[in-house]
Amino acid sequence: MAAFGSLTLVTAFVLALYGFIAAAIGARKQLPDLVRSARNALLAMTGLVVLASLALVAAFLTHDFELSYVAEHSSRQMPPAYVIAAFYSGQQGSLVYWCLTLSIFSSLVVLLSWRHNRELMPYVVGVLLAMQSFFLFLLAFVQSPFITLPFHVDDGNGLNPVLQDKGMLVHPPMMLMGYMSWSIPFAFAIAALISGRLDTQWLRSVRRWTLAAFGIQGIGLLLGAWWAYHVLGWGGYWGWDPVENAAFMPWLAGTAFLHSVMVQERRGMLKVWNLTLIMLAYLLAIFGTFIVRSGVLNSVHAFAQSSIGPFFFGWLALAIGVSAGLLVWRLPKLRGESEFETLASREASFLFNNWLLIGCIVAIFSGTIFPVISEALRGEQITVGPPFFGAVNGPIFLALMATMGLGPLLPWRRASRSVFWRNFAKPLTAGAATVVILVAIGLRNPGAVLGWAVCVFVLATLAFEFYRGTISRRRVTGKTTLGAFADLFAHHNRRYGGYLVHFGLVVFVIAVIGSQFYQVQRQVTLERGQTATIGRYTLTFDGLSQAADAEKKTTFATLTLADGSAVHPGKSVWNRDSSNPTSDIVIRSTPLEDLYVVLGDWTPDQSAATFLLFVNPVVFWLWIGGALVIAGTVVTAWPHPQPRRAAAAAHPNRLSERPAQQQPVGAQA
Amino acid sequence: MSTSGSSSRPVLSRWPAIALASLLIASGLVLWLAIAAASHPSTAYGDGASIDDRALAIENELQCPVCQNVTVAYSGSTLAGQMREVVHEQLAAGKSHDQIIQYFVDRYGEAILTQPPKHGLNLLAWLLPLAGLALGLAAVASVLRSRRGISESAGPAASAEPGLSADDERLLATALEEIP
Amino acid sequence: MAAAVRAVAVAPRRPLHIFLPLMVAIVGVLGVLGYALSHGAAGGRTNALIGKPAPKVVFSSFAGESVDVAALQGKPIVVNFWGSWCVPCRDEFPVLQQAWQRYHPQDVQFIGLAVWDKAEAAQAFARDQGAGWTNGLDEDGKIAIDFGVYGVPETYFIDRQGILADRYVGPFTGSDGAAKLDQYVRTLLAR
Repeated sequence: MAAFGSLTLVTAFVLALYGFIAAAIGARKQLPDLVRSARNALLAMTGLVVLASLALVAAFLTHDFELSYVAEHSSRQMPPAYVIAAFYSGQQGSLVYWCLTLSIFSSLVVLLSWRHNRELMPYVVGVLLAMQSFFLFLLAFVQSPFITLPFHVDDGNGLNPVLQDKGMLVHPPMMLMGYMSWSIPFAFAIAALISGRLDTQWLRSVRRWTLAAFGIQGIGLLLGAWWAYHVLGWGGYWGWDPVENAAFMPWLAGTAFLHSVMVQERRGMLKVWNLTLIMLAYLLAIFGTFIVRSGVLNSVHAFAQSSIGPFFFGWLALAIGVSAGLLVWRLPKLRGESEFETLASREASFLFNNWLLIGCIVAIFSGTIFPVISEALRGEQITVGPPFFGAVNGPIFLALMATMGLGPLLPWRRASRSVFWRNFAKPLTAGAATVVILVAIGLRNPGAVLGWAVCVFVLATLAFEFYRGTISRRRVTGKTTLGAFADLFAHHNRRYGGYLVHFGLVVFVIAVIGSQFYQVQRQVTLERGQTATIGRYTLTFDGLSQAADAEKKTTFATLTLADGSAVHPGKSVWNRDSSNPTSDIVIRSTPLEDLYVVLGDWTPDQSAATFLLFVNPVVFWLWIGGALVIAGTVVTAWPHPQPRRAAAAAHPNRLSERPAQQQPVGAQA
Repeated sequence: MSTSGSSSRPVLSRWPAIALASLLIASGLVLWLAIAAASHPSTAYGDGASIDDRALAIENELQCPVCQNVTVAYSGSTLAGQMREVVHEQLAAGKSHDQIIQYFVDRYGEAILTQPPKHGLNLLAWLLPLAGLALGLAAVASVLRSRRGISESAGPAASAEPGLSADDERLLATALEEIP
Repeated sequence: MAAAVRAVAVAPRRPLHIFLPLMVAIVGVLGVLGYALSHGAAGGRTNALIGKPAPKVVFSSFAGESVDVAALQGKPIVVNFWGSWCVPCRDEFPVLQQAWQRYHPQDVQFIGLAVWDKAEAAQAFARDQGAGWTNGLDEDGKIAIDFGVYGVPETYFIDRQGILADRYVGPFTGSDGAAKLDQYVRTLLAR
């Protein structure tokens, strides 16, 4: 198995490298045969990577502990699902997984858009294969998952206990795929810069793939939050961990791009900026991968240094150099076709949105690497934790939300004062009324009051948009109100899918504000029979009980609630790592609040135990909001059956404002 | 589609009734959740608080030194558990919140605090985001200003202001039929 | 619109204006990351106790006697924190053994404390390794916390006046491990 796997990876590397060179020469010298050969190399390489992945999975399933990677990350007692999940739980396996998904995505790109982007594709294929060569080089020669152990072991180490949770089956694959998926738009961006083609077709492809990345990374982030909330036991869903930040930043950059790209589509502006954003997303993904895997941030101890750090560093530097160099080189060709006219316009609101998103990225980025800066300058690593990120990002998020309400109601180019006020008078009133009511009922936290007021304002503008759309649709099609409403998603999926994303985000933010500002937490030590109170709940401690299986010993506590029902939070001590027990958290979720109970320590005679109790208000809506965001993304990305030409032709009056959309950049230069 | 301009008025005039209703529903949802969320007193760490709750406040300011991004309060690791015992003991011995925090900073360095204390080089951590935002704003402003200057000097687009509202209204209605 | 477009086309571009600060920032970030990469994360935790009187060390050894380091005043002391479950500690033991053999005739006291460990496992480990110096279990981990131990192995050096002179984080292993430990002990003796 080891020999087969290694051979497959090396062959795949050779193919990728060949394909890269063939694509580069083929594109440069206009040799279609060579380009086709590069494409075939890509497809063949995908097959080989799939084979290598299957070989690794097979090694896990057959408990082939001859492979050190298998021995390190799995054991015989583990349930089969986790044995398979162990595949991507370590450094090497997760690189294989990255490579696998990148291969599959690359093949999809080639198969789906070969015909539409004929001039662009050789370059796209070239960039994708360059990336593949890098990863396959790491896998074949630096961090091979198919290294064998020099001695025999009967059983493996098993998977880190914290990872043995259902979340492990879905969250890491999504997250890794999310990181990977920024590669595709990046490849399109580089291809456009080299070839000098930046036409409508290019925009379509990039927007699609960015939406895909946005969705996948979004699901990954959401699942991560869900996992943290249900497994880690600190009562929260987002810890501003470097790993989380590293995934969040590309997503923010992608979000910025998805907005500002509309300015380019409509008005032919911001081309340089859009290319910068899309490349930034990829660079941030690579940066995240580097910082998480290289060990530069792992302050626990320096023993676990990874050998791939320098390679990722080199790749990051190369990618930055190439991106920046190409941008500067192509700058003269990327001139805008029209200009900003006023602050009160849709395009200006996108600019504002971009500024805030970039502000978020800067804040998160500097907070994430500040420990490294501090260590370099001062020799002391410090911690930059959630309070910092919350304080810095809170106001920015608030402003972003406000922009989300303003933007969609502003017309392109310029809004006259009367239109502005007609559109915003009511939503603004609603927001102001919210402030008054919230203060009147006794809320004093300015962050919460202002935050919720802004949420109401955005909801109001969204309601206005949906209302207007439905009425107009009803008039045009003669359908019922409900039919017209559904029609919005079917026929104007980009616009109303986008609004659905906004709506989901508002719901999400409402929940974030509630749970951040009004979480109640207590630590209580209870003797048997004693009662603790938190919020509206009283819990009586009725004692501890034990259970054991092959891998762990679990202690459960019994706590009885006032309504007579009982909850059983537990703590498991794992045989292979007794100093890192895992928690079995109890969460009682209702739309209004979650009761969250964690068992802490207990006395040796089991007469008393310590509990962490939380009441997390409105967290329920966080998941609803998140699901809506994903649903909206899917609606937006849904392939549109009817060609857009027809719609455009129906509005001759708009054509004057339509930028020279069908015209490639190259034509101007 | 060219007829939509004439019928746009009735559409917009119906907006108050229905939209206000949906607005009320939306605001109602937010208010309901807000009231629910704020109905509990937030955690009190004052004088009256129990040792357990005061300990929790301290533990929440201390980063577990052997974990990834978990405070001492929530970490399941042995070291964090023992640190919690130390916090409880010292509170019982009458030490103050700040004294106990200082005890750990002396031994584990400032890295044990969950956020950088605001002095010395750490200020840089707080300044970097602000600097980034300010720079970004300057960039946006300069883009808008230089561009606006040009388009105003270009004349025709800027002079149409007063007559725009009727146009805009039509645009508003027709924009719906258009995929952005 | 056409006029506007033309006007811009004539307007001078200032790419350097925007790109130069950006480039500086990027290079700066890469520099810091590269530095961190080449140095590894040393953890970089300061310990303000160094130069101050050492914390109390009171425990009962595996041999069954109760040990109070304060009673050893006047002798240089090396306190090593380890764990039976810790692989680098296992690698470090022979190095400690060597240093102990060389320096205990010069009255340097070696103390080994197992932390985050079980009594039987730790005792068996010390016995199997044939440690000649006093070893015991820091049962509730509070001695380790009092020193600021955040991982094992860590080694602390207490001088004749009972002042915590220095500490070393990580194992004294590798090609220069023994020499490093030697250096630390000789510095301690010189105080």
